[in-house]
Amino acid sequence: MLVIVLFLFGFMINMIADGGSTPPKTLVGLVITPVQTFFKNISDGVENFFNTFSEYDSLKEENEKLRLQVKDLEDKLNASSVYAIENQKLKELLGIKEMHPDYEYVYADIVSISTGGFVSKFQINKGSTSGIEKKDIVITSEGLVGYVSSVSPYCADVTTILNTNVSIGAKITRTGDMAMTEGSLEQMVEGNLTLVYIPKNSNITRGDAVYTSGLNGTYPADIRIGKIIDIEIEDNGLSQYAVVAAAVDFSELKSVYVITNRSDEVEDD
Amino acid sequence: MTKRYFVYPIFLIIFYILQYVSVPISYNGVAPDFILILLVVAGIRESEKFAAILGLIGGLLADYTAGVAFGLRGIIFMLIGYFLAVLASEALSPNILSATVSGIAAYILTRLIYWGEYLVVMGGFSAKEMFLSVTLPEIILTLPFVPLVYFLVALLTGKRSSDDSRARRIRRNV
Repeated sequence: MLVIVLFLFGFMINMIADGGSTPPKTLVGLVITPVQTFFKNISDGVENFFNTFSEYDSLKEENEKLRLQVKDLEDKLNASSVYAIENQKLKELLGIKEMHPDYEYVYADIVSISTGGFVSKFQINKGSTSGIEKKDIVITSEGLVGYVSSVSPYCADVTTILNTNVSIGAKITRTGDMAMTEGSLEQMVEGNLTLVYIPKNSNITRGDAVYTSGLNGTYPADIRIGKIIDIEIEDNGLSQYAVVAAAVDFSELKSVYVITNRSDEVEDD
Repeated sequence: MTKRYFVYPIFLIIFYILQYVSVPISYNGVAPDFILILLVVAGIRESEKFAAILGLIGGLLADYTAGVAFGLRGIIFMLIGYFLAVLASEALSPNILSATVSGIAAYILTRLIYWGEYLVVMGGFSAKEMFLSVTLPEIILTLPFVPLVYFLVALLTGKRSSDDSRARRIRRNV
């Protein structure tokens, strides 16, 4: 047992000092990731199955009424709605791609999430074999998600922008003011960020959209971070800070896009 | 006795899925620590070696998904499982009350260590914020499941193997 403890301790220290993935974690990942993906698919199937039962009575009644009158039109309407939603998401992603046509994106599913509350991160089912590298930026059609904090051949860890050690150069689009977002534990559980270093004479208001500024090249510019939902005065009375609701709903996140060919890297703060 | 070699691994897989993959029970991103509950139950009911191995595997699974320093939870859970099993074979009676009390103690111990991990890796934090946002919701979600898991495991595995460990120890001393 002492040998195992020393072994693990050595890898742990190495990981803290160096960051990234260690051989034991890579080995565990090779076994665990396919299992995670498998059980995640089963879980989604079970959830959809029970949702069908809960809505069964109302859907059956509505289906009976419409079937006699406009069944063909209802099928087309349902299909076009699905396509419209998907089309909108693809358009938004295309918008990002048009702003940065030189970027390449890798689509990945989320297979597990960290639920301890200390850190906000999750794992995706793509890794270095798909071209993903450590510190690659992760987005969705809604906005900025985070960055790749460690990568193995077939999976990767993504640290989200909600974490307390993640700071992002930000821009309030309406006023043009520059600021910075930071994470906090209290805000993390609600899916919010804190916007700090707001200029003293800024006239930001609730509802203002916040985007990445791209100033130091850490994150690409003009990717949506969220919108301001509250403004407070600092304890010193000289400056203000704001609470930003993240554009991405992390509690409902199922899949992401990883930008794989940027030359700039995320710097841990 | 061989039933436990099926029951505990199956429970470990199910709890890993419930805690990190599908997560049907959560509050503001915090879910019950099912793996720790299973470890506590194993520590009370099984031998030192079994509990230590289960703790190591469960801890590494937790590290892989949620840990910051990979290996920390593996070490902690292995030691908790081992020493809890030693305590159970000498002093604890196997029942829901001892499982609940052990669960509370194990939870407090692990969270203190996680706070230290967070402090080292992430930098400073507000203890009040950490307690109210993370620790308190987690313990409220976790503790109610301890009696349920203990009951299920006891039902499925029958006689605890830690009784055999104690009997062997007594025979050796005699």
